[in-house]
Amino acid sequence: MSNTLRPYLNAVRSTLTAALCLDNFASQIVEKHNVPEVEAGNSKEVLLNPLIVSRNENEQVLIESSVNSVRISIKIKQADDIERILAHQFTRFLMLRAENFVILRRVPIKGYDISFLVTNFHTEQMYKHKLVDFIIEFMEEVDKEISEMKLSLNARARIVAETYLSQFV
Amino acid sequence: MILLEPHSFVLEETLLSRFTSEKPEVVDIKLVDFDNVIYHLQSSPEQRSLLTLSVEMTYFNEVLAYGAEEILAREYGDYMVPPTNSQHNISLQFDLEKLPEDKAALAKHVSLLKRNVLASPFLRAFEYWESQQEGAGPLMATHYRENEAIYVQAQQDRVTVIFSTLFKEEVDRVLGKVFLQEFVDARRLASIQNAPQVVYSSREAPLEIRHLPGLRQDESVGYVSFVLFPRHFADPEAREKTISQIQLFRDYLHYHIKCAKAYMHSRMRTRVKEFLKVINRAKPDRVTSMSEKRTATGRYFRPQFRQSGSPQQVEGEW
Amino acid sequence: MAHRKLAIDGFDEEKQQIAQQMQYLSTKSDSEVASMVDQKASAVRAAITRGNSAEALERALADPPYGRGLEAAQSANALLVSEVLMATRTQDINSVVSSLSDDDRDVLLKYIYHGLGHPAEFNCGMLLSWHERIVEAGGLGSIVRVMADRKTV
Repeated sequence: MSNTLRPYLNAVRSTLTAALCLDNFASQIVEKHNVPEVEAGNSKEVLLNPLIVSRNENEQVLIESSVNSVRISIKIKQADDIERILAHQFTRFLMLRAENFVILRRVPIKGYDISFLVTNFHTEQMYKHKLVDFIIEFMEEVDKEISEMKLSLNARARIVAETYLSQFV
Repeated sequence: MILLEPHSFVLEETLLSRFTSEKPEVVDIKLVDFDNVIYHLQSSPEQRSLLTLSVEMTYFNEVLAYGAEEILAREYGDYMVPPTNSQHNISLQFDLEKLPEDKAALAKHVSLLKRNVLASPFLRAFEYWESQQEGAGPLMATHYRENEAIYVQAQQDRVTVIFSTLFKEEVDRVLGKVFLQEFVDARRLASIQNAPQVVYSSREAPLEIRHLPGLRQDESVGYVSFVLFPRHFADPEAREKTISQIQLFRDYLHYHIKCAKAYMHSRMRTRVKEFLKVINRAKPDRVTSMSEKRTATGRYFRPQFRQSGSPQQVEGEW
Repeated sequence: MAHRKLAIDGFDEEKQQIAQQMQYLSTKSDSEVASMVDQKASAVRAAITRGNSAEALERALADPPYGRGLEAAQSANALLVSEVLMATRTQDINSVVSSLSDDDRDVLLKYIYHGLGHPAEFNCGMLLSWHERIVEAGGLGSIVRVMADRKTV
């Protein structure tokens, strides 16, 4: 299955780069307000079609774009119980520190594990290609981290069991 | 250190320092051990040389039924006194002026108090096996913790020890399952083929104890059964070692679950730092607004207002 | 102050109609579109068996059923397109992509995203490799056109 990883990440990269063309846009409903349109969702005409890029049923990226903001939601692969709680702990850990990450959303969209919100202010202050790099690297690293933690957990369990039981012999 | 120790290290140290101190002082110390056992070390101002150690154990009454009294008399008979108040279950008194030569050994011996008391159901089961009576022995239950218990039963050719343990959180439950699965599978390793057999079930109680009233059988509880073979308790040395090890099983398991969680936490923290580094790369380096420009003689320009025209020249050195 | 807890704009009838009306309304009726798709299907499958993937793709991409209320026809057409994509050999993909017109390429990209959105029914690996080729040929602009076009497939 790893042979779809490269095309998957490339597709996400190109879709993201295309979606991250953001412009300052004041709210059409309330005077003097400037709101990320993809979050408010009141003016339908400034929202673009949401796109999903998926590698299989368990790994998907939802990209919802609008004139001044983009919401990126990632669904992480979770094959069994252990991976599920590891992914859950990890994403919760990250989301508690969302302020440091600037573009991270504190609550994921329903059906997904973690969400990012990028607004035109972010793209004005940060390099766009580096933002895309960050998201792609994030997707790779999270998978790697979860499988490493699972491996170390299994190794630890084995050592614990063997040390204890060898005391009886 | 992977294994937990059967004696209470802090009790041993405190006792040793009291035993070997030059002048006896007034003390009133409370120490805690695993399974909510509380030690109370006191000496009154009038009789500073008499040090009283009182122990509170919630399960003492159950253990009395399994012969704890005899064990206590055998091990600590010289020092036993009636308990000082109703909350305490055991009291030992030490005369600091009349201690035996080897104080360290005494301190170590006393720190094994909890282990010796909890050994009573096991010893009774082993004696039952030795007596080679027909059929299964009595099922001895010790509720050593709130909601958790140890059940010991002797049979003709083995002794079964069943732990019921509670996992409060979902994460603990999943981690516990991973660890316990390894315990079950460990016997396939050649070097520990002779270890006790472990069986684990996550909600249903094993057959031996299913008839007991008041058993919890929901998601958060797990039952672990150890089958001890005669090899583990036939000769006295192996017997003592087995008892010390098996008592600590539940604490050992939960200790390692917590270690695993702490390890994962520190990994996540490193990973988060890495991510922060990556995203900070996305921010271009900004020229600081208060950039200081110097002239050759060492005077500094201080830009007063950023929008307006020329910066003001400030005299003197900084 | 009960009304402050409700998002008043959401209950506005007119607004809901506007959102609906913004979706493309096809000029043809439901049954007409469905029959068109069926007719295409036989021609397309014939072209596939003949081995002519480029032609099959062109036929499949012609007259896509745009608009609301045409879900059945849309999914039938999408399955048809994915059949063609799967039948194409890997070495032919580049030539097929370059033989398509710009409009057809955009429509194909729309179908690819439609397929990626339903990973249960479509083969994502294959769709992802086609995606790469199309974006190489059409550039990021084709992705933007997929996002911005109200005529969803």
